[in-house]
Amino acid sequence: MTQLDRLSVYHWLNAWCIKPVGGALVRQEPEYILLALMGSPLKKIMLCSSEKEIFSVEEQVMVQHSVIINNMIEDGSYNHEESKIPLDCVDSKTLKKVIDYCTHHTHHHNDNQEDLEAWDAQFLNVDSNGLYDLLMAANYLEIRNLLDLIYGTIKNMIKGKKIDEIRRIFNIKDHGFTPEEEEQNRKEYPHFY
Amino acid sequence: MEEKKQKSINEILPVELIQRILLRIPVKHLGRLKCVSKLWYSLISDPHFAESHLHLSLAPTHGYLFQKDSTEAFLVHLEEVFNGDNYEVKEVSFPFKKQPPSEFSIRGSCRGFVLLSREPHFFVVWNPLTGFSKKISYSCMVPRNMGRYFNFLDHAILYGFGYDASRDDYLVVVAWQNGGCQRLDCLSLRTNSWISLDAALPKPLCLTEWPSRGLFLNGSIHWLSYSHVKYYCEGLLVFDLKERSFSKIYLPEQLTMRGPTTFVILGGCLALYFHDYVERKTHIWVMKEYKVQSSWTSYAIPGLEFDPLCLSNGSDIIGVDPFRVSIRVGSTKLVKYNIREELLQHFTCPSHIRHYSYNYCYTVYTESLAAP
Repeated sequence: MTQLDRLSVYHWLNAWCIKPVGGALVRQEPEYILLALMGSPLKKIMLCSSEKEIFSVEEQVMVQHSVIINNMIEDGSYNHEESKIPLDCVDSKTLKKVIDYCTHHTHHHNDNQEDLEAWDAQFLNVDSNGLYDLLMAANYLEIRNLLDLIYGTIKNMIKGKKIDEIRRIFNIKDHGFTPEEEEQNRKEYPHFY
Repeated sequence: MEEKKQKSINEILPVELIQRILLRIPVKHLGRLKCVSKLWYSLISDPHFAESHLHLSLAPTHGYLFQKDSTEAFLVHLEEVFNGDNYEVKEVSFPFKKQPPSEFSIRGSCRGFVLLSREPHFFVVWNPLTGFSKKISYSCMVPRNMGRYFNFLDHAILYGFGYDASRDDYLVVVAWQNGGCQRLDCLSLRTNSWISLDAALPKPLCLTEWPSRGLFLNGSIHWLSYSHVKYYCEGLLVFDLKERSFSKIYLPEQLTMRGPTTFVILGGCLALYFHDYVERKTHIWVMKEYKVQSSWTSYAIPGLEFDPLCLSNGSDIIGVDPFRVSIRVGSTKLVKYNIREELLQHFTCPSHIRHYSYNYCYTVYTESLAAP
């Protein structure tokens, strides 16, 4: 089965996976059904951070979330036996968090909306620098839902706030305006500040 | 690590990511964000940014501008009005002198700009969000024997306001009768000059009424067209601003045989609606895919004189319902229905504020930072 087919089957199973357990029909993790059908072990891939630390993660998890990694595996440039995917612009701390996010969302995507949102809120409870690192990693790996989540969070940090507060939140010490321009702005729009 | 703590977002994130963050901020906050830093100012002021924002907008916000009389108008932000209590419908302050009060008419809108016509022979193109305005005189088009208060557009056959992307120009298109012949003229905002396009005008020109106001969508201006043979509105007359030529979109018969129809743009799609006095409903037909006849979808809103204004959240219809109680005129309400035709919310305007659907005293525009 090609990589693409496996992904389609995976998604199909995700929607319909049920398994009889002790007489009742119970939702079962799709990976195990896939295992039973495919007879192959759950493939893992190796991701290498900028600090040369190696993280082993289920292939399906990353393929489902990251367009970049999905493309690498589909076009065959990733050899399971020997290679690792080098991610030179992502440090270990951030990579671990990204893997955490993808893994949770793959295994728990059947959870109800409120629980997922609560988990996401807790996940993003980091300082500004951590948030920027996550944003850059999600952008590099092209993880759509994580990007949307971070953009939404930053949007909420900005909305409704006055300029002085926004500068404080984002540590903008040098705003780049000349003293005359700044004074002009403050005079023309005092309610913004 | 200590040093990293001191860096600002502008120093850590690449410019393209900051731009993407700003593209996600609702347009009405962006004016304020220009003052945060010089970098943000230059990103937001870039004309391509306004264009991207207009296209990307996941949740466009709409302004509903309507006239109380010939000198006063009100503005309602249609998404905000349902967001909480205490929304204040404010009188609009136009970018022209208040004393003495000048007479004006709202003539249409396109991509965040509103077109107004003013005495004695001016057009004003105005962006209510940014405050930008430009005044253009059309006195050269007024026939010499007509007086000072001759209102060009009141005597036109059809008119419309649109945007030609190929030339990055806003155009006001007017067809009018001069003596025995019909003329078509087009005002270019970029060059501030009139272009004569008489040859393009189809003959005969059949419209449901004179003057007919056009609506801009997908690079063309559209008007409701009438069939003298069948005695009902049979389709839409379309003027392509790039090609500068007319064409027609025919409507399915089941739509047109019902009686007086009005049309509106909902969620970027052409929509027709009519009031059904028998079933006491308003039927709305939306052409979900432009120029695809099979994509007409119908909705029946349980409000007798509901005038749809815009779509919110992609599928909720917001409109105005005069809510007439027997023969007394009730207060004007803004109402929101969802896709299953259920009433979601309503907002009652203060009693001195009324909406009149006839004679086009209003327009709905999408808020945008665009500048011509």
